[in-house]
Amino acid sequence: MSELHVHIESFNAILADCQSLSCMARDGGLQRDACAELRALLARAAELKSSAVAVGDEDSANLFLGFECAASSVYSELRMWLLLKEENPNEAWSALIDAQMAATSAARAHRGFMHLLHQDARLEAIEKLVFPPQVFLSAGWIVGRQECSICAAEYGTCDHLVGKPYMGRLCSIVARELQGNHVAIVKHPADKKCRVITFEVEGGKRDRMTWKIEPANRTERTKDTAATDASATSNGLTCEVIFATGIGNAQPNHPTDESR
Amino acid sequence: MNIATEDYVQVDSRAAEIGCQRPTGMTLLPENFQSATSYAELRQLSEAATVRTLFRTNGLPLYDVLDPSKPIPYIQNNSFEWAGPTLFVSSALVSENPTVVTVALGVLANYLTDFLKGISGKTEVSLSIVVEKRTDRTCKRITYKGNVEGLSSLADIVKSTSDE
Repeated sequence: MSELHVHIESFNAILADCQSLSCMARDGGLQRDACAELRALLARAAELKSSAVAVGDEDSANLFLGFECAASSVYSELRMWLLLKEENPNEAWSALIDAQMAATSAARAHRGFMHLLHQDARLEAIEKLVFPPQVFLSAGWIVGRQECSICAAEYGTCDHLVGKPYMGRLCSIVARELQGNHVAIVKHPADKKCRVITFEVEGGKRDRMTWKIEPANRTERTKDTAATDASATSNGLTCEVIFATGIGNAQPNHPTDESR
Repeated sequence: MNIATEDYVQVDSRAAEIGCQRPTGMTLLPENFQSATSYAELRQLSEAATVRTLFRTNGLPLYDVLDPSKPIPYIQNNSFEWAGPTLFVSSALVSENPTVVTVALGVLANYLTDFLKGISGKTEVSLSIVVEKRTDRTCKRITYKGNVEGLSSLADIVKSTSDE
């Protein structure tokens, strides 16, 4: 068996073990241990990807990118269950969306991860069954310049294409010279983290996720380090929303100990 | 799947009016090509850049109505629907190279099949094609909204619209 196949077998076994803990009923301690194991897998996959890049082996580099994304997906799902157990559904929602996006990225990274389409369908079912319906927003921007994330050239002048893997990296557009244009309520947003968090009711603000009313003077909003907050008013409704700032950013998320 | 056809401004004269170069074959039109009052007002969809790369790398000739020294801004709508740019097909192109639209739609569909794989929920694409009629050079816009597989059905509609 080649060295590459040894790594593949080992990673697949870890992912399968960790995935078997991905449900509400499993023990939280075991789920935290699985998260630690996945962080180690992520680090190892990143090392192997760098080695593949160094020797110009694009297929292996994309394969290890796929493992990074797959591990990120399982890690984020485990985190979602842990956060739900801690009664933190807003953060759990963010973790679920991270898991969905990472599963999509894995399927794009390498043909060997096409089976993650089933994982994505499962995560979508969890979204519908575990969480209440959300109101999504789509932010429209006027962009002066679009830069390719792979080569930094003006996107459209190079040969790279958004969503395709290149030497262990997925191509995305880096938007430059941004101007806000509009915000629209949509059924199918590009980023499901872009949603209405609270809305005003008599006596305070109602959290759309927990349905609790926080008195106006002591409302605390969910913080997301990768997001910016904004207020929007529409049809007499004042609400707080989170807009994700990364556009087309589909790189694997390397969690740190802090994110536990 | 939804396909609608409507009248569109005559592209040739509109291009001259607004300071764009006159298109001869297949080209991408700015989104507000009909309504912009000046070249500076023109905007193109973010996905136009992807289509340019796809066509160039697949050897499909794409004429540019824009002045390369005067790039126009992009509109970036962060919805899950893949909103394609407006493609213009001249009457001369349909006469001389009738298969080119079929090939172009195939290239686009192949890319989108890969791009949309693994995305959960309802994934739709939209695309507009402005067709110049052979008889009087007036134009019609065909707007498509639906799944990727349905894109191929546009080729026959383009041909029949051009022949009207």
